[in-house]
Amino acid sequence: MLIAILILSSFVLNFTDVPQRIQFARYSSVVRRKLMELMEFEEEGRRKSVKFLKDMNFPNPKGLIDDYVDNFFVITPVEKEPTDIIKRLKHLIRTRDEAVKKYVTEKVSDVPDVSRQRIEVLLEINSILTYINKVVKHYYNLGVKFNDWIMMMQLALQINQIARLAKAYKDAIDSFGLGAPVGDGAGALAARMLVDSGSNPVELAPETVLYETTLEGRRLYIIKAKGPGPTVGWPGEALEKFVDSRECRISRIVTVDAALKLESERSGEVAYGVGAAIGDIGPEKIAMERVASKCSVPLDAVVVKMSNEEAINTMTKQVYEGVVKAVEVIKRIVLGKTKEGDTVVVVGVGNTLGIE
Amino acid sequence: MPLGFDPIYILLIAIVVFLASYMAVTYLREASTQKKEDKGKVISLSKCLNCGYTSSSTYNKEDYVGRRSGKCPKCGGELIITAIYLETQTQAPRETAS
Ligand SMILES: [Zn+2]
Repeated sequence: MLIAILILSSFVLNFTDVPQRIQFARYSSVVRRKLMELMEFEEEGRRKSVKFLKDMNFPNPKGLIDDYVDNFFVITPVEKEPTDIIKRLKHLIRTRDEAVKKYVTEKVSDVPDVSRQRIEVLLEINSILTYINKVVKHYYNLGVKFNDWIMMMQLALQINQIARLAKAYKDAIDSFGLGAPVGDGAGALAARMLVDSGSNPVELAPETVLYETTLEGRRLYIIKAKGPGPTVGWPGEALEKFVDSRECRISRIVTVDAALKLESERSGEVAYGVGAAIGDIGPEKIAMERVASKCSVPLDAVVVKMSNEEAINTMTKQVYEGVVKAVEVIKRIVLGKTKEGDTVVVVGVGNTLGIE
Repeated sequence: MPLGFDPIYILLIAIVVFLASYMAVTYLREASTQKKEDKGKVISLSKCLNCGYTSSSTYNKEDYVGRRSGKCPKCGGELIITAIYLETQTQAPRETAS
């Protein structure tokens, strides 16, 4: 009897798909459960955004969000022919930005810039949540349709990370609604902390400002996005314009930004190196690199490390302490590597929500 | 044959006990990770431009870094917000420096 059971079960285990079918059922139930969670995130995000827009006396907020989601994508330019690809990409990004801006101002004409930027961020987050949801549903449906247990297994193993990211975006709606600085603002905050409170900003590029200050005999120019609305501005273009206007008479450029940490690193760790510290898809970063190499000005990078969740939610104390450290590092670089009378540019990259 | 010595019976009991404890452990673990929702409190730090006096207060919606937030209680100079961050309960609360 026992022998017969053993033989039968070993046959089932080795020569049929039954174990995989069972696993498929288990993994797909895991995915289904998490998918419900993702859908809740999406709905909750939508609900919160609608409430936020209603509080701003926005007409028909639900329609505004629904019309935005799925639209306003950008098709990346042809890469086979790389000539002027940055110019083309920049053009497409600007066109999109203009379109989004127009989309919002069309509905409410006299909306102040800060509110408009906030609405744009809200729309963007809703769009991301919907997109995450759709991609997961896509692979789930494919897996079910073709009985693809490998796909279902991969999805089940990855879905916790995906759900964590989606939750971070959902929470970001609260953070951006609150208006306090987010983790990604580390670079902007570090730059702002170098500025004397008396100095007045000059607008260099759209939504990007320049401050002037001094540090132990060095002339310090600070470039950052114009606050306190949630915008990243055009730091590359601003830097390019500024360096050109000074005809390359700059001794050093220091960029400071938030950076994604590895799992083993602590939040708020500060590191420095060389290059343009900016998480950009191309145009802004290359503008910085080009202008620095054209004028052969050393380009330094200082980063404050944080997780993906921290970057898009209200700045935590650890990250803030990292910013304080980053300011010290920038000062050390400026004092150690330039002489008195030199001119240094510091570019604070990142979302400047809650930071003027 | 006495039941206690049947090897299959013992094996079955072992499997049942193992499965039950496995499920209990996974359930407990899930429950414990879901409970840790600590919102924390957002703090605005202000500093006097004149004498360097600093104070912290709870963030309100009009606050932003660089905003003039009032008069210094020590010298009457201007207070300016220098930082805003989220403090969670797990970190030790820090005293207000003055
Ligand atoms: Zn004072």
